[in-house]
Amino acid sequence: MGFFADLEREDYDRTYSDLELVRRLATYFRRHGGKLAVTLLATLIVASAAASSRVVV
Amino acid sequence: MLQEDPQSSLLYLITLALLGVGAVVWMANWARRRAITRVIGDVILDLRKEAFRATASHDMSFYDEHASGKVVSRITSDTQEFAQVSILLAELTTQMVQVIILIIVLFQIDVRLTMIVLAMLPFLFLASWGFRRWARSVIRRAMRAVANVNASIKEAVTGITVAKNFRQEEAIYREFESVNRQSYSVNIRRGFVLALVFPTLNALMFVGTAIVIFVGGLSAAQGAIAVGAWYLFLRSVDRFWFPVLGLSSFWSQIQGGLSAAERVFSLIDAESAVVQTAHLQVPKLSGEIRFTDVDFRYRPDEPVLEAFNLTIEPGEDLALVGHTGAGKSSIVKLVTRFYEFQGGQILVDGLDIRSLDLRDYRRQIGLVPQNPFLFSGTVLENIRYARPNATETEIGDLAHRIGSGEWMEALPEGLQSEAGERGKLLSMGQRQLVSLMRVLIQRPAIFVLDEATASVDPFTESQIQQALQLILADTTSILIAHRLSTVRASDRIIVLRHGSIIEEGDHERLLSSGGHYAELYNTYFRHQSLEYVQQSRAAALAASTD
Repeated sequence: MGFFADLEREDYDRTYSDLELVRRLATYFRRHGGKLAVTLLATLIVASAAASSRVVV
Repeated sequence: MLQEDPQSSLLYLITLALLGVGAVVWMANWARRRAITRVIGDVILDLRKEAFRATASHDMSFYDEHASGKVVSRITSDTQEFAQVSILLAELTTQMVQVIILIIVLFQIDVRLTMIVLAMLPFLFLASWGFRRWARSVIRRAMRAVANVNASIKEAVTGITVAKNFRQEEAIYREFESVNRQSYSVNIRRGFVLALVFPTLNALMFVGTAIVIFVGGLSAAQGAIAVGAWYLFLRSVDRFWFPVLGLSSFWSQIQGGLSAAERVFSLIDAESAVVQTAHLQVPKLSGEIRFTDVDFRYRPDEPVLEAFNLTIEPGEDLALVGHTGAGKSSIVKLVTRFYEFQGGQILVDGLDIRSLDLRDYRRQIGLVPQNPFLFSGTVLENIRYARPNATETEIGDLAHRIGSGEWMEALPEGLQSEAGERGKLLSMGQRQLVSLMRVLIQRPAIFVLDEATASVDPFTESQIQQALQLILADTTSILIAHRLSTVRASDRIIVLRHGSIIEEGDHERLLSSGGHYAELYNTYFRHQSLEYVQQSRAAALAASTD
């Protein structure tokens, strides 16, 4: 126990479920919808090319 | 040449097409990474702003109870950890898209073999899920350990003067070494746990590949699948496993990002102990303060004030005296609304202190703490802190009303002199004068002074008293007095013991009654009196002539 001594949680620490955290984080990302759309499109292009290159070549 | 050899022309076309695709992929990759960097940067900016705003809005009990270094760690290190995991997550999204495309390709090659590959996925994700709880736990501890290191550094740097004075450099180094070693050990353990994830999942992947080779080989031998198609399947499945493994093994690291987000959100969501029931606009206050049956405690089992009653009239200068722990600072903390009281009522100009708009209310309170805090910047900027629109002429005129402005002329560059971090480039007396000037410029209705105990030279002392008189003339004042001159200048002295008022009156009356104040006077104040100084000098002179 000594190994983890003084590593207790603070009294204001809370436990959130993964879903709660993801939902809350999504609100921050949602503000950047335009840039995320660019990212998604670019991701599709990169992933498609990477996935097909092995098969084609 | 192309017309003579059609196969060569096809080769050229494929090569050119691949180069074109390569260029498009390069562009898309560049745009993707640029957008991701910007989005994550902006999200972290927002997260830090929100965390800092929440931290700044907490009441003083929050700061008294929690090490500031640990709070800093959440705003800086934890948000950074979240940023790194977000970048990782963006990469994983690309890999996930690749997985979907490859599943379609694999189905095109052979449905049965693809189903075998897909049957392995639940095992991989179950193993990842199993690591989740473990990973989350070690990551949380690792973050707390890093927060401890930050807190230790901050405390050591803040208190370095005291440490050096008491020759405790070695002790603070040992303390740092201890938390740093703990952080090292906890983070190594975190690394070990995370290092277990990939090999475990890799082993599962080999099992899957072995099954595909075995079943595919049998099928090829029986002619159910062409050898070429089997070979193509094996090449494609190899490409399929890589992002799947990435998705699974990074799952534990994603827990790191979620743990970091959890710590930051906990800070943002921490509830303030000071709760306003309404946000009434505060008119210009006359400064009447009334405590009615107020109960106050820092901890549930340690009452500081019980059924406490006190009325301070508008414009009155009230001095609070008493031994340490008598309740002087607690009264001030309640008037400034830095702490929440548990029972009774505090009224300011007849308005419930809990119903006021706090920003509005505090605008009318001028506070000078015992250790005046100055920010980095010039003396002028520090004086303007409460009223940024105060002109230099106005401040200069006011400064000249204190000791004819000699204190200001003693500064190397006058009002433009640098105060230094925490005002360390100024003497203690100068810091006190600047903090009093800050209140003078603010023109509050209520003045709260926790007088510094540090001695200053008689010349500076007289200038401080002049500044004080200027403030006291226009405000209701609560003075935690440590100087005889301040006690004498007050209209009324309240003597406190264990959170109760045991005596009150003016200096002469309290002294003549021979009670607790007289005892305090003989302990704290008498040596500051002119009579005492003159008697001491006479005694010293007599001793030297003997």
